[in-house]
Amino acid sequence: MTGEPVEILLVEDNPNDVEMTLRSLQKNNVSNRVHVARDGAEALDFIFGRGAYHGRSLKEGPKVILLDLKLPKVDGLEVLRQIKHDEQARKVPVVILTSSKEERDIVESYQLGVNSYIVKPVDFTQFTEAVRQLGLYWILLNQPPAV
Amino acid sequence: MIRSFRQSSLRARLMLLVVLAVLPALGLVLYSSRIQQRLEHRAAQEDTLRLARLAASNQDRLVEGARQLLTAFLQVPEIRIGNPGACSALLAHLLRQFPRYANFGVADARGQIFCSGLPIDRPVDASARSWFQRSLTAKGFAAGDYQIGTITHKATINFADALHDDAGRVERVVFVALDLSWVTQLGAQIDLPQGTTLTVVDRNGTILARYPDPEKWTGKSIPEAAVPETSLVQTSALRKGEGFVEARGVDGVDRIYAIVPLGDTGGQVRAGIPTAAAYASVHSGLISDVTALILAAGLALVAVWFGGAVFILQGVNRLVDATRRLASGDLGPRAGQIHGPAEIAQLAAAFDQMADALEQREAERRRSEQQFAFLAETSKLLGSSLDYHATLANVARAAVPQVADWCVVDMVGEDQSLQRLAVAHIDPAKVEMLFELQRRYPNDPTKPGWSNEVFRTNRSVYVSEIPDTALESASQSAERLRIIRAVGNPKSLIITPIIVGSRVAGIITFVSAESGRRYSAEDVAMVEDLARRAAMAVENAMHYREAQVLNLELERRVTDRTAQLETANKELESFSYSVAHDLRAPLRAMDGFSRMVVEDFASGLPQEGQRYLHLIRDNAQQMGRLIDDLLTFSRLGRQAVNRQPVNTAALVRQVMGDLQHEHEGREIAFAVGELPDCSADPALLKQVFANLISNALKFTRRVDEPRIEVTSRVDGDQPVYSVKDNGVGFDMQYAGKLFGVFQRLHRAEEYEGTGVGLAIVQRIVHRHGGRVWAEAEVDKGATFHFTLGGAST
Repeated sequence: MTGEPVEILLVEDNPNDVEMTLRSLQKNNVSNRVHVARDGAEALDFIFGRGAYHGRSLKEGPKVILLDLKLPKVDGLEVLRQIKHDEQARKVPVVILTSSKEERDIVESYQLGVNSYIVKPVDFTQFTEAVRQLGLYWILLNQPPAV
Repeated sequence: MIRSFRQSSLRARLMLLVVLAVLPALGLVLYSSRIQQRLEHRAAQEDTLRLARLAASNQDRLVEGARQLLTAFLQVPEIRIGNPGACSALLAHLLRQFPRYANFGVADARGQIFCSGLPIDRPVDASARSWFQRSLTAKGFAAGDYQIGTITHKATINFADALHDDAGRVERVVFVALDLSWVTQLGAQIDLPQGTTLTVVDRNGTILARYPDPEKWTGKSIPEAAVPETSLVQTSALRKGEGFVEARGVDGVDRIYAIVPLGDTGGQVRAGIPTAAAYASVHSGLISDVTALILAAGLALVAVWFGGAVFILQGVNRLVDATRRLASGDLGPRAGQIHGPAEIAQLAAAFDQMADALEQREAERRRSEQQFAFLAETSKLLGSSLDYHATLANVARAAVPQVADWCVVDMVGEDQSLQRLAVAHIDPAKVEMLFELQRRYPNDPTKPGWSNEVFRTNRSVYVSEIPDTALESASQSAERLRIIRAVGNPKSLIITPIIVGSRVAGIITFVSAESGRRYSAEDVAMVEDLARRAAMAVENAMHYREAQVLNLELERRVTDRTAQLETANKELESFSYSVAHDLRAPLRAMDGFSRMVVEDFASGLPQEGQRYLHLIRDNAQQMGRLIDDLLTFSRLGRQAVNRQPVNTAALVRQVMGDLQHEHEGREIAFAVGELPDCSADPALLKQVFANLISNALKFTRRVDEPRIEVTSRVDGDQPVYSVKDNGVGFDMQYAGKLFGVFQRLHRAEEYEGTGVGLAIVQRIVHRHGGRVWAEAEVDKGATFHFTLGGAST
């Protein structure tokens, strides 16, 4: 399945968080081209053009992946590992956007090659600000290599 | 060398005794010789006196004779008035009749001898002669001095008498010259000891005559003649003028002199007998006596030397030999019966007794040493291992052959039957027989037998000398007896129980067969001691086995519990993870959607509705903070403290920088004192300072001139860090609640917070081994102190 180029892949199982994230991105005019994967398996299918996303190429995006850690089926760290072990996929910046403040999650993420690690604040104002800043940085300012 | 010295020493003593015995005899000889000498001295004195008196009376007689002769001459006309020729002829004739005289003569008043018995050519002048002058002066008889006659050419003493007229004028002086050679003749006539002298001296001390050698001495005046009066020995037996003197004569010979005065001439006669001659007999007697004594003593010494060797030294030597061999460790030799003095025989007997006692004691010592060595070895064996089967087998091996010819250890099995655990035998080939015996003919507890007796009484059985009949009855069966005899006919035995608790857990049998050893009560004590140790080893082994089982059980439980704990921990972790992740998501939704309502629908919402939505958001956020703090707090319990040197001052500055946003717009006086470096987990220590300083910032919010000080001081060997503020402080009566989780001393409307901050501080400090405490006063401020344990770096 091919479609419009996607700028952001949001991997998040919590619909509330999905809604709030999308709202923040939209409110801050970062991007409308967001694809949401609700679990790790779907995220991997989307990235590697498998299953429901068969035939999809990374050339169609995303520019950045926002990845939660606690995910159904395949958890976020595993998704991260697979992305960073792939020659092509590893060039896509991955930002962990999670509720976990656990040190070991942070350490492991960086060891796997995550590009940024953001803890989702409870305070919605702060949350919105965080999303705004990361969108601004990774979509507008960052210059990734050609995929 | 030493040996000969010792022997000769004894001989020397015996010989000394001989010499001592001779000494009184020698003293007696010397004493009697002294007495003898005194007697001889007296005799010599008497002899000399007699001789001197004899000579003196002889001389007196001669003088008297001369006087009478002169008186007679004065009556003779030829002499009175005769011419020289007639006179000389008469005198010559008379001279021949009186051979004692050397000459007769007549001198005129001028001293001219005109008439002489010996022929003269012309008158001879005698006017200077003493006899002439004295006679002329005395006008009568006078004796002259010694002289060598002009006419006679002999030593003479002249006597003269004067012929005078009626007027008293001297007309002629008649003289006779007495020849003194008679003294020599007298000496020769009397049998005198060799060296005896006889001397006649005149009043001047001139020798008139001397025997012997008259010609050598006559006329001389010598010390022999000049004897001081004081040296004369006067005794009552002597007549007036007589005396004795012992002096050295002119010829250098010591003599005893007797001195007798001569009538009226003033001269003396001295007779001297040499002292040596006088004592000759005494000396020769003494010499012979002493010689005899020395001879006798010598004989006695020889007898002592050889006789002593035979009668005393032989025995002593045997004793010495025996003693020396005894000293060198050979306990065999004995002095035996010594045929000698009773004392030596007694000594020998005492020596033999001592040697017997020593030998016995040595045997005892060796035996106890052997026992001790055996006990020491077995103790070592018993203590060396907890496998008592192997240990008891080693003990049995150690017993043979030191204390037994064969040794058997039997233990009571679980079925209460006796199990043969170990066997040792001096003949290894027979070990299997003893095992076989127990297998084929086990002990029957219902029958008599020594082992059964041990089990019955809980005490050792000890048979010093096993009678055949006893062995037969104790063997229980003929077959058993046959095998036991084949193994080694037991002559002496001890069976001792191994008592564990109060029960006989086994027995050890010690048997003496061919060796001829006979067990004694001491051996029983020894093997009982051994059995006690064996029992302890068995007990220890049992305890050890029990302990091992307990230990295994314990280990299993620990493993189980650890697994459970690990599971629990994992669960807790996943729980925390869930809390972190899943509890925050709904809070975020509550906060987010409330916010969205406010943002999107504020115009359609009454004021009160908006306030409620704010309260929802506040509470959601507070709950978010609570969750964060609780997670931090629980993480601190699990997290390892990673101690390392920390630059405390730099760390505090960093904390202040981090907290900048909390006091933006406020004027706060910060004071940081000198902070020594410390050893701590830097992340955790940072949290401590952050919480304390954050608190200080919070509680000084309503103070006009807020002031926060971070200082340190050294208490003992570790630094105490303090964070002090001048904020609202608190009442010290609530200080106990200060560090509890969710404990707050202020209302939430006044000072926000979760009540976890100080609990976190305390947990971190405690995990460092330090302590934290506070002092405060309401409205005056609070000071928090903490230490970090360990030494500062």
